[in-house]
Amino acid sequence: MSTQRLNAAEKDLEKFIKFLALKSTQVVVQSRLGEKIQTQCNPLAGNDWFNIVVQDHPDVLDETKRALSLKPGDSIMQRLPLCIEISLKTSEGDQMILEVWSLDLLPLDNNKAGGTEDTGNKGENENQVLKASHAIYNRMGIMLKSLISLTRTTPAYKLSRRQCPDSYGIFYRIYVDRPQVHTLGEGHKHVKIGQLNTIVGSLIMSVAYRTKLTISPTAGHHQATTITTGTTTTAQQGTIMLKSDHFRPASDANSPTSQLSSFKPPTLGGIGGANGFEKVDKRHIDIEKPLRPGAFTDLGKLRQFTEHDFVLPETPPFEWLLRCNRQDSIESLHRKCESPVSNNNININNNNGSNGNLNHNNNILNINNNSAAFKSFEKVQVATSPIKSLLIPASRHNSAPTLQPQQQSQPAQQQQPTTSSDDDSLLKELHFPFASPTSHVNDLAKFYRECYHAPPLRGLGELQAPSTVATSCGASAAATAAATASATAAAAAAAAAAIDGSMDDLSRQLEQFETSLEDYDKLVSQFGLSGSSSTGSRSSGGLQMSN
Amino acid sequence: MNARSQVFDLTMEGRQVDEAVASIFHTVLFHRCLGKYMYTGDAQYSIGTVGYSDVDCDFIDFTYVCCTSDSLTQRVKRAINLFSEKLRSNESCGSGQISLEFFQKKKNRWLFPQESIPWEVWTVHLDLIKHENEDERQLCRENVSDMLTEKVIYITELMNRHDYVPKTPSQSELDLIFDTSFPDVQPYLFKFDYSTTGSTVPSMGNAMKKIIKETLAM
Repeated sequence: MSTQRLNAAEKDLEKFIKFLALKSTQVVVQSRLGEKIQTQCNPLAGNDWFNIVVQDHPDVLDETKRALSLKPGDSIMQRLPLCIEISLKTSEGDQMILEVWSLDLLPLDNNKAGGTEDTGNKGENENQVLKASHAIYNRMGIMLKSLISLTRTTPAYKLSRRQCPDSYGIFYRIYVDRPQVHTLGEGHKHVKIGQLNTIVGSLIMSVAYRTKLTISPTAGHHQATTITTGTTTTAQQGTIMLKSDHFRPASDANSPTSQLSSFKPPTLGGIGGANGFEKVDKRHIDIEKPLRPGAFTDLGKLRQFTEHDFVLPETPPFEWLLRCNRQDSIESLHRKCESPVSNNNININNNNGSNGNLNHNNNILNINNNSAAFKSFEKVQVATSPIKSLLIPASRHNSAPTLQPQQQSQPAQQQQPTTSSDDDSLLKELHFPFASPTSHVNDLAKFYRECYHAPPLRGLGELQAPSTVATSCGASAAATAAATASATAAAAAAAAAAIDGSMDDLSRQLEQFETSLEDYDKLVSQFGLSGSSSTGSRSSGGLQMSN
Repeated sequence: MNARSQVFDLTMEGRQVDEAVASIFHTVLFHRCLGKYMYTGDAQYSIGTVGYSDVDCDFIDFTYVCCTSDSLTQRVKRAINLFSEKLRSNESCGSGQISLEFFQKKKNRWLFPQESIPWEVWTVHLDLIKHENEDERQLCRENVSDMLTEKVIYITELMNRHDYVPKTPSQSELDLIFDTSFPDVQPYLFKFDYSTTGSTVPSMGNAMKKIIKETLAM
């Protein structure tokens, strides 16, 4: 009868111990998640073990059960030195064991058991045994509360609150074995949380934790800020370096779950040197910090901006005015693609003989500063046939370069037409859409045009003149073709083969222009006044150029 | 009956007082709080559960645990506040003590008022210091947190000794042991006492004095 009762009491105890173990692992691991924990009191329904609300984290529960590996008939008492190891792992892969929490059951010799147990347990009747189990339950509750309180005081708690994926994470491991305290380094502290003498043995909960956590790799001036825990003051040590006085990065709140799942066996004694954290320090402070963007900056945009920033200051304003023609890069060729087209229209028009007016028109087009000029430009474009056809005459005299537009190398063309084509690009650049007509920039543009721009050709009837123009067109055509599509180039090549056809084409276009000549005249008459002088200067320049 | 008495000596800045005292008292109270008793019969009752919260200190690098009970927190806070304001006021000499006293009541006897018998007293003795510069302050911040760590370890050690704790009474006498005024938790009856004159009279004596005074007042 008495053995039966004893067995029942043992069964109870076993159950208590099992749940104490399960709750303890929950408490310890949850305290290392890096977040503040709050559980609500429940005055009505007391379903929680030991009357303390400890949430069960399923992963931890599984992990504990796996470590205990209890089969239905097994007793937890045989499995008991249960340890929860908390370790730190840096982003570099260095690892350090921080603490080991353990729950152990030591055998108890009988006479001692009688002496230390609750007074109610001395007798043998049923009431007292029941009372004892009740007392044990309450004591376990206090032990668990102590555990909850103590988990917040060890150095690992502060570290866990500061963990973030960039620097380090906190890991746990649950195992059934003697606590491996030798991994905690020299001077580790051992705290007994509680001891509970029961009929099956003395239940002891304790923690051993590392006290030597060094902040910084540089020995000298940081020595004063070495973390000391409890009563021990630590000297500089060759262990891993940790920053302690840093504000907690904001991003660590979402990390714990991933940390929970990542479960790694420790490398015993293999704790890496200070290198890892030194590197982290360097990366954060020396390089990234000065370049760190503001709070709400779009990183992608910022990077783009800086790259451009590096390029831009090298060219002072208006440096392109001084640029040598022969140094034209592919880039500038590309840029030319657009401008010659519009100029070509006019040049071709010039062929038709109405020199002065069209010259003027050209001028207006190139100024392109006011809305009227824009309008006229549009008009011209609308009136003419598509660009493709305009490019055709280019092949006439310089067929070779036009046939290979994709190569974008036109050394042959550079002698004659470069000046004009470059001018085109310059003129394009001289469009200052937002400059007021009286501004200095405008004057500069005007001056430049007057000095350098290739004048309309005097002898339009002669073959020479159109050929020059055409060559310039050819150059631009090559560029355009390269930039836009090979279709254009193919068309140009095809047209080059049939010269006569292209001549017809040209004449047809000229006719077209002629028919709309009145429009141009009207336009010119609108701008009427300053035409003659500029034409004069330009025509002289033009003679120079054509020669 | 002799009450167990624990005295903690702490030295810190004035602004750290509230949190330091709170961290010690809340750790004690967390251990001394039970779930609410719900009686289903005179001898039968169910016990509610106690939730806990982490509290981060602002002026100390420390986190402590307390019961998740607003009313309890408020009561502790108010008591500590009164003490800390007195301690930090200009009249104060910069030292003082506050105690958390657990007591049980004895039933009324004819002519005598209800008698309170303390069974456990936790006293925090404080000395205020001022820091000259920020380095010192930072160092002290760490020192205070180390000190508190020690204290909490010590408290838990004491709590797990098999010392006297009043037994759970029947429903009618529950109020003599527990403070049933809180809606969510049920701590043992407790009260605060403080003095800023630097007197080190144990609160047991204070309690006795009070009892005598009250008796005479009758």
